[in-house]
Amino acid sequence: MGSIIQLDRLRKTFPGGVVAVDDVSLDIEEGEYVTLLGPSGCGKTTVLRTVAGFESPDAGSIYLAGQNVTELPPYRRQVNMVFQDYALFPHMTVSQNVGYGLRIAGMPKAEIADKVRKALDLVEMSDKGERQPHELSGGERQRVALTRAIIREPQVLLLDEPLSALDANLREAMRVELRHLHQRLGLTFVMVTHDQTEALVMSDRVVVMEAGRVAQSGTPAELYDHPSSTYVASFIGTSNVLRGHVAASGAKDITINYGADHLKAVRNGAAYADGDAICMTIRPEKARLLAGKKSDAKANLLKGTVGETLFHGNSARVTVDLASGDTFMVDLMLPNTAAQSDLPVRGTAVTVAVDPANVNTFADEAAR
Amino acid sequence: MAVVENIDAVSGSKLTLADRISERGGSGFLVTLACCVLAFLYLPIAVLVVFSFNDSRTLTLPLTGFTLDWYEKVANNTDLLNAIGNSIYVATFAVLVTLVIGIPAAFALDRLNFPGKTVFRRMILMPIALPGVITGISMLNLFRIMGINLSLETVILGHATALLAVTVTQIFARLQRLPRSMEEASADLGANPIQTFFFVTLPNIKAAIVGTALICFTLSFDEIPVTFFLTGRENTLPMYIWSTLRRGITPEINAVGTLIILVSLVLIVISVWLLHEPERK
Repeated sequence: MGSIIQLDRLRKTFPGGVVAVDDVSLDIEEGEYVTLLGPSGCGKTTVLRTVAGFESPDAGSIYLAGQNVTELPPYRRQVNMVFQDYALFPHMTVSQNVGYGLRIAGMPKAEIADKVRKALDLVEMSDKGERQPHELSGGERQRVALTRAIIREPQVLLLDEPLSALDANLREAMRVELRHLHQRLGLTFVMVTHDQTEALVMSDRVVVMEAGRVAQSGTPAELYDHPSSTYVASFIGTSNVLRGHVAASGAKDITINYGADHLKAVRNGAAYADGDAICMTIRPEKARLLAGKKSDAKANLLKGTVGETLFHGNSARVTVDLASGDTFMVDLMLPNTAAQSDLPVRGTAVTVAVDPANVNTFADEAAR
Repeated sequence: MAVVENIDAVSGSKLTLADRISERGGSGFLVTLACCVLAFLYLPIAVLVVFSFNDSRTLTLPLTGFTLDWYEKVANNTDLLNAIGNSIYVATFAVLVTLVIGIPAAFALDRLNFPGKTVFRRMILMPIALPGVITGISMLNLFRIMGINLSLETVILGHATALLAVTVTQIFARLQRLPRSMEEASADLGANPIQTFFFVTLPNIKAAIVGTALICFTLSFDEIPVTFFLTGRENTLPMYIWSTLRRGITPEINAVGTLIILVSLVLIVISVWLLHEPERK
């Protein structure tokens, strides 16, 4: 196992001065399923297109399996791409589309036919080889695009928003199918998406991008539990963001002044000096509500009153107006014995309890 | 769709008798109007076709009988046949020249970004709005200054220039509808730019090219103003017809006219069919 793709300080500015990719360095391991996640315009697609060779970077270099391919045209790179609009050739049948790359490579016809048949078998499309692309459904077209891209056995498969053109049900099924395909083929997948659920469900590693830069890179669980900025915390899932100052920093945990309260958080490796402005993010489902005078010695306690209660069926989201003035969301999982009448009522005094392990901290970028 | 139909059904049931009559009357008026427009467009052509088969030298009603004599006369008229030959020659080469210049121009407009691109596009399209007389006179002046003798070849250049606007517009429009990702996919699958052009781009714009060529052929075949200024001693068919008209309309001319209409119609139908290929998405 080694790096199959290495991006070294990649930079790309478009005419008009828009910096699409700003100093991006990235190592992708062989066999990894990596997702570039971010809103539109964050540069994720440009990074992908640079790897494919459709855009040439202004600065920086790209290595594929150790070879510098920065100057190579797309047709000399051992990568294949699944396009957002699939880009099937409308004047060719499904089989001709799938076999195109082999035909270009000069493979004998009989061998191409054989390989195409096997590949179409793999995606259960063997009976549709003679169809024209416009006769296929969206999901079928996508499978053809996938098959066409993997038949050349590339070192890396690039996927540009592969599921965005499908309807919701199909999208969910294809998530699983793509994931299985990745496991079966053992190829390196690099996918671009703006859909955080897609990124969390499908990838081994997620690279969150913001304005042309890598905001954070990590496994889905790392990103979810330990976001390193408010941007990542709010882009992936929902978070309560509280701002405070470091009061004391111990070996295992740190104490933070938040309003009149002292909150404890487990250290996550970052070094803070006393008095540093700090951000705390807490996931709504990792906080608890304590009714009345109940207490919990180990947890951080925040007093407030119940604001809104939103019933979601299997859970309920309660917003608590804290004494500090912030609003805090708490998700309550509802056991099967719960009735809707058991939910907290507006105006009730409650205490929010959060274990120090569930308080994620990072230096407050707004105070810098 | 179903919802719209339902609304129609509901409102339909509430129509009074008077409403229905006026509605019928309204659509009757529209049908009459449409018929008038069609008659306005096609009555002259119908007259030409009918009289080409009429058994009389004069173009007056009533019709006297059916004959194919005028078509026989056309077949034996060497001047006329010469003119037809010249027209085919001019149209064919005008189309070839305009395609050779127009296709790369359309690609440049679609693919390249260069300073003054908008101006370039406007200037290419301008000859569409320019009267043929102007194109004719200006090219005549140019050829005179350059000391080039007028001939069918100068007519070809004139036609090719006038047709360039059509060619570039049509092919540019097709290229714009061609998703760029298709060519990228081809490159991604290992095809070099030449392979991509022949295996992916060309097959997708082929219909547009053939359709444009047919339209241009028809336009060139009928062209008079530019031809008038640029031809030497040889005559194209429209010029020949025009010159014989000075001695009055003969049924022979009607016969030629009918033949031209027939051929034009076939070419136009084919080209329209090719240019409006069903959108494959």
